Amino acid sequence: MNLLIVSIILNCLLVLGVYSLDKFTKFKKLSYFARQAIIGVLFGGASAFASSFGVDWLGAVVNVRDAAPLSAGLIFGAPAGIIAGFIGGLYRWFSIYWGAGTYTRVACSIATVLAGFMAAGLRKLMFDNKKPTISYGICIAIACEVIHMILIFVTNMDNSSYAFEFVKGATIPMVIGNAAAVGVALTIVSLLSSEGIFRKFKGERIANTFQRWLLICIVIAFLVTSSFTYVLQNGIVKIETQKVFTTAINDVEAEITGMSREFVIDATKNRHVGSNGFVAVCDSDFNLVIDTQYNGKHISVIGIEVPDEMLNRQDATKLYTAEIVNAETEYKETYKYVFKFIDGYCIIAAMPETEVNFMRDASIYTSIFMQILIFAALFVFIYILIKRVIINNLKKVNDTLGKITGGDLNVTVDVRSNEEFASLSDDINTTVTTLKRYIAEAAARIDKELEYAKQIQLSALPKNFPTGEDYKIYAEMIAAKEVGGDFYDFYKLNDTTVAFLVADVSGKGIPAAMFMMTAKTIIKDLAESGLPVNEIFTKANKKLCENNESGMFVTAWMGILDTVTGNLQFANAGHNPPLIKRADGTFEYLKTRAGFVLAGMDSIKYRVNELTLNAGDRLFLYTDGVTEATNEQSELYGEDRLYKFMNSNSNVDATSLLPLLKKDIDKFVGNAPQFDDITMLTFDYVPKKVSSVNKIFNAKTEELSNVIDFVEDALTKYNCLPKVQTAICVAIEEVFVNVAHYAYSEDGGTVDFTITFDGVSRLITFRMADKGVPFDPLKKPDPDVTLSAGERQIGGLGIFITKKTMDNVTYAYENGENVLTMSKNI
Amino acid sequence: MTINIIKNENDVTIKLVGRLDTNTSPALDKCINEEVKGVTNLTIDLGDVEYVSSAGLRVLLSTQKKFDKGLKIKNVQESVMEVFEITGFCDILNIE
Repeated sequence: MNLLIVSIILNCLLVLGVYSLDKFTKFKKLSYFARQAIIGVLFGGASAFASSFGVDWLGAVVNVRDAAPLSAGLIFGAPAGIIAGFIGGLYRWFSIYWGAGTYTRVACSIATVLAGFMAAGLRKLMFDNKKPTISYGICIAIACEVIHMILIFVTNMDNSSYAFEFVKGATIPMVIGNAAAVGVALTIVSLLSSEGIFRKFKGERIANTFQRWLLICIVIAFLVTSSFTYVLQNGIVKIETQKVFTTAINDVEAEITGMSREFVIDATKNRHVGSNGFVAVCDSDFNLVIDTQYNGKHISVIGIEVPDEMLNRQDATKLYTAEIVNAETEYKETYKYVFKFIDGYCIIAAMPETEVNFMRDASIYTSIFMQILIFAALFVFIYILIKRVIINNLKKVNDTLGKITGGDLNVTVDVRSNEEFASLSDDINTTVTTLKRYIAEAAARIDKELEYAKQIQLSALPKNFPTGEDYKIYAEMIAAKEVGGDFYDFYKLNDTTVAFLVADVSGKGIPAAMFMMTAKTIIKDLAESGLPVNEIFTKANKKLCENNESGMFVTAWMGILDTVTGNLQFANAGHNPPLIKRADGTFEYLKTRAGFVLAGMDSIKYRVNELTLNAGDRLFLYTDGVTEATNEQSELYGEDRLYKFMNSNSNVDATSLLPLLKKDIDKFVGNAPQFDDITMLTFDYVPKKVSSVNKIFNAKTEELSNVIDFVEDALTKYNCLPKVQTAICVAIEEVFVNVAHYAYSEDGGTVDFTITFDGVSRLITFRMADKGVPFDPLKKPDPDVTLSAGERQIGGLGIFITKKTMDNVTYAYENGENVLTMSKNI
Repeated sequence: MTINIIKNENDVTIKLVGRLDTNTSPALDKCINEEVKGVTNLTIDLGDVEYVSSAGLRVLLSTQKKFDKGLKIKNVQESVMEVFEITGFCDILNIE
């Protein structure tokens, strides 16, 4: 018995070891079949070990050899189980050469191989190639041992009563031993795999429901048929035994009728009932008439207490039971007997109860074994059938539905194995098709609306690119498929100031587009109110932060240029740095400390940056759609590529440059889709060489203040320093007053006054023409400024001041006009 | 241009505010000729004057001639001083 337990423990340890090996070491890196082979061999060894260490039972060994292939097959895999089964079976086959019994050789060998196949087959067919629950494992072990017992029975039919005795004794320990070994092994694995002994209940599966009810029905059927068999066999046995007894009694009766006492002894001598029964005769005083030492003694000597019927000289009406002493062995054994009174004798026929019941027990055992097998087979078969017909199909339908729910509407359900599922498949497919149509219609409608939104958004961007000004602007916005939040904008704030910006609203779709419109309007309003660029951002940020619950934000770069002086004030709200190219240089990134994005936090104050643009300088503004354009390898276009491209195309005209850049980006991106809007804007500073203003004044001193205003306006516009402005105004006054006083007679006349400014050299030229008397004021000699106050002449200072203030003063008489031209670098 | 006259017996200060140009200097000339008769010491404050043209210089020169050492010009701004320098008036006038 101890050896049996050792074998069980060994099996468990092996399961534990192999499971840990498989789970925690590099063992799992081996190929599937290599692992299965190793596990198979290990469990084959365990099977052989269990084979040698069993408990002797009627000349055979009761052991748990079958547990190892079962464990291997059920827990670790079909091939392992089969290998282990073969090893165990072969070992048993050849073990007769080192002392094992031959009685169960065939049965045990086959049973062990079969155990491996059973485990493998059931694992595949019933458990989806996973290990079964503990209860199933135990049931399988029981079924396996039942087969084993039947095999022993079948292979030893020549001595069925011995075989029956063997099976009767070995069944319980074999079943318990193997079931325990497999059960404990499965428990260990369940604990190790942390799924617990009891599976969590999470809504019963159809398979489980079927299994349970199937099991209940089968157990009931099994019990009913077993009870029926028992009752039936019991009845049959009684009748059969009665028959045997009657025949024996009748034989004896025929021989002893009218015979002497001695003859009676002879007649019953060596007479057998069945194989171990006997016939005895006693006289009317119930003293035995028999050839053993009990002759002449009262019947109770051999153990038969005279029942009432016998006492009353009545024949037996049923089978009586008595503990009868065997004449040879003197052991008491339970016997069944009947009696009949003839001619003053009483004939008793008796048979050991075991012999009486042998037929019954044999047929009940066989019947129970067969039933277990049949019902187990039935169970497995129905289970597999249900699985094939319903569960697998349901799984197929469910998998497809899962894909549909996951968004793939192009899959179809196609389960055609029976009419119901075919109909279900058709219904699902029809539903999906309808759904697809609705979705397509809705998508088409949304696409159309998005297209409109995109059009509106694009139309909000200025398209009339200025060319005749002191600057050239060209921009392009290539929207991604979805409507986005990029925008560019530019507008003149006054005659000499222009604002331009590029911005990118976070996110995509309608919300981004709407936010973009708001941001664009707010910035433009603030810019037109004349605020400096940093103030525009600070205020726009505050406004955009109000009610910005969706948490959108805008990055923006905005510049405001004084087209006369080239002074550029700009601010950056978290936007990509623009590229700047000086007239004779290369593009460089204009990296300044950027402020926070707009609409992010309402207390942000933005800084203003300043630089002076010179004629021919170019600025390139863009959004991250350029630098973050991504190709199929997930690489970004990046600042470096943009830098190289811009520098190798630095002299290309803006209207050609932007399409070229887009082409370069497209080439880089390849077949990857455009994710983000791409917005590009070039700003070229090309101040016109000369700008001029002209006005005609009356040649009267009363006009002086108008003339001075005219000059001051022009000087302010061209950013002349205040000190220089005053000096110039004094000089102009001198010249104008001179004309007013002397050019015309009393009727008066006009002065044609032109101011011309060269933005590049910053040379301002004043041309004053009158149609008065030809007179060259420059001919007059300069006054001597070194004379003392007393010697100084009043007058003549005006033209002198003019000459001194201006860089150059010339006089000409052209086309009947006195033309005085004065110029100064400011 | 406005002309403020502060009289203090024999000392008179004229404070000018604005531009001293062709159109305004006759007013200053008239003021000096009429209001400041018999005064020996005259101070002209040009603190609020940033513009003086040759017409203004004429008035200043004639006044200088009239008062000679009795005339002081004070608080001359930079832009006006430049005109005085160009024309040599800085050597003639008694500028404080």
